Amino acid sequence: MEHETLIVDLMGLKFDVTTTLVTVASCIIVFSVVFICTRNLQLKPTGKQNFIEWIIDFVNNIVSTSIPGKRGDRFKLLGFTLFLFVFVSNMLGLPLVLVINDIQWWKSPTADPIVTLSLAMMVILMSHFFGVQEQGFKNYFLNSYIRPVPFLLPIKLFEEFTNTLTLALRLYGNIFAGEILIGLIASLSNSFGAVTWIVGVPLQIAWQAFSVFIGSIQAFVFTTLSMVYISHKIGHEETVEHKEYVETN
Amino acid sequence: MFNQLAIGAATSAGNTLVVLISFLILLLLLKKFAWKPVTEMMERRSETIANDLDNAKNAKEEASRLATEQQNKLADMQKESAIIIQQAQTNAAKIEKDLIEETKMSIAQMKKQAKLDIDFERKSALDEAKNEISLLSLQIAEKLIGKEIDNQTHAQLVDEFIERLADSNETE
Repeated sequence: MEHETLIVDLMGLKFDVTTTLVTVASCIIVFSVVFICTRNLQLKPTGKQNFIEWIIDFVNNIVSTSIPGKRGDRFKLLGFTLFLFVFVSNMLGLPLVLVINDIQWWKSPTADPIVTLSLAMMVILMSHFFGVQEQGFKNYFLNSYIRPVPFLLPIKLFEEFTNTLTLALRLYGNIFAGEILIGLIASLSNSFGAVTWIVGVPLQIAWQAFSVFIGSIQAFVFTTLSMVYISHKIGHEETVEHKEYVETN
Repeated sequence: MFNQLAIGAATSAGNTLVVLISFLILLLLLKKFAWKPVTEMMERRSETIANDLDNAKNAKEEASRLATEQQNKLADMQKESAIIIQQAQTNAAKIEKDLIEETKMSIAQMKKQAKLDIDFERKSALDEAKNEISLLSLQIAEKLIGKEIDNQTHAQLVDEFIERLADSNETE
């Protein structure tokens, strides 16, 4: 299942053409869908506007479960973009895995560990940034690493790295494994020409359906965990606000 | 697997940049073209719904208030009309009584007047009859006297008679 990819050297930085291509494609797809769905907005929504508002509500719920009240509002766009990007990226490799002359041209961007690690790193760095912004550096440091007991400091420091890794590798592992199995089933179908299609095609359909399920779950999990990590960093005064939130609702 | 990791290592910095930059561009584009209008629209909708609910509540209260007002008005009007009817009845009774009394009075007056008229008529008829009788008696007396009367003396006699008649009328 390992294939070469085309590598372009640009000003000393090496770029993987496949990953760049599918990442940009995923961005374009997300933007196009959302753009088309948000044309001609009505107060009384119909059709495509209902669809996009359903997704927005879904993501808003994810965000406000972790970060309740007004403080969650600024993270809703981030959650929305993360969810759609990861979801579409997960789906990209399902209908098509293109390998020409042993060079891979098309796959899910999230089947590349670098992509998922980039996203996870971005989320974790953002969580630290927002943590400092919301409660000041001193409180951020105390709440994140010293409280409730100082001797947990090494574990808490270690946790920052494991968080990044688990967030990234969970997504990567699921999608990469899915694509490997898609490739295996495809080569099984082609092993004896059209005869083995009888076995291969239903198997492939079943596995693709399951991969759609996995891809959706992983997009949901990625968004949820991102919000949980951010809320851990910003959310230590939450207890008061949370009470107020519960009382006012 | 190791092969891929080795390749990945060579391109990891570039790929990370690509992912981060494209993700940020996507985020900004979505914010500009989709997120703001949609969230604004959703906020506007929730405001509209809240307003509509408030308006409906107000309208309902207003309606029930108007209904009670109308009912009160109706009750007042019924009371008023009952009073008016009663007044009209008493008035009618009074007017009837007055009319009857007035009519009785005028009948009595008319009777009195008629009595007076009858007396007057009788009296004047009697007077006339008296005059007639006296005239006849005069003529009879003249005939009895047998005096030949020419036109001139006749006129004189008539004048005398009228004078006497006037005198007798005056003396009466």
